[in-house]
Amino acid sequence: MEMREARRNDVWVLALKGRLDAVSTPCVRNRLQERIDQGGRRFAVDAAVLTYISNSGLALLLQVGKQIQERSGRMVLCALHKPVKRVLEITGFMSLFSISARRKRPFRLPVRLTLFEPPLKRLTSLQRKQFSEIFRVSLILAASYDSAKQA
Amino acid sequence: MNVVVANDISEVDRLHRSVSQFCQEHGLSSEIEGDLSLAIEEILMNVIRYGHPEGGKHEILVRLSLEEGYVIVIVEDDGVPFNPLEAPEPDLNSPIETRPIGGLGIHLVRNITDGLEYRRNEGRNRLVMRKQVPRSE
Repeated sequence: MEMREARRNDVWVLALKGRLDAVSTPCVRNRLQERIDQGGRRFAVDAAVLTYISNSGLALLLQVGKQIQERSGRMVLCALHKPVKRVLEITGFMSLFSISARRKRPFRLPVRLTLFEPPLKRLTSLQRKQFSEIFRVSLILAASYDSAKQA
Repeated sequence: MNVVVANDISEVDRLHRSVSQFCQEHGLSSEIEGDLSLAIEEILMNVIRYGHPEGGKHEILVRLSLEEGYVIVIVEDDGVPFNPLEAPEPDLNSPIETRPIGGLGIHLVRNITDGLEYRRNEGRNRLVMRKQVPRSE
């Protein structure tokens, strides 16, 4: 687990990378607790490169979420990965938090989450390149097939 | 693959690495790896937290194998009797203010595995979890 943190206006952005499991949860809990104790009320958890969450991570989200709620704050979970989203769905957590598909501006404020570059983005552009190459080759093949047939 | 871990939270890391190695060796997808890791972590955490109220160092045996399209995970421990099949269903609907913290581990295990068998034998818990592997893998 790797954790990065930034503050944009009054929003604390916490980006998590890797596994939020029984081993890594205490360190994330301490950080969030510290920020709440300092008066932080608005939090964005950037989960674009978070690949795993267990019951320990869920307990952390709920415990922190309750505190933020009591203080009339808000926590937004952003850019959830499929496996993490699935765990949140199975456990009925999707209704407990604000969920944002976007990493940019999860709040209406100009908050941008770019603490970790998502590997997914790079992969997609690579796939796009590969796809256009396959398309180009298939056009050439189709054209040569047509001309062979005519001949 | 056999992995023996101590009843200590730090062992969860080693377990994740073993699961990852097992999945690589058998060409299993990251989805299967994630589900296996999660199921084993939850069972392990239960044993670590509640298995030995008297304390002390204990060993937990985790065995992974691939048989006829299923990953079979066997977890054995010498803790107090605990049958995950009888664990109560958690509250999944109440609002954040009243939602109880924790207690979702077994619920997760039930939902991400394709079969659970529990047996108490000679002072040991033995849980068998089955996870179906998609045909293409």
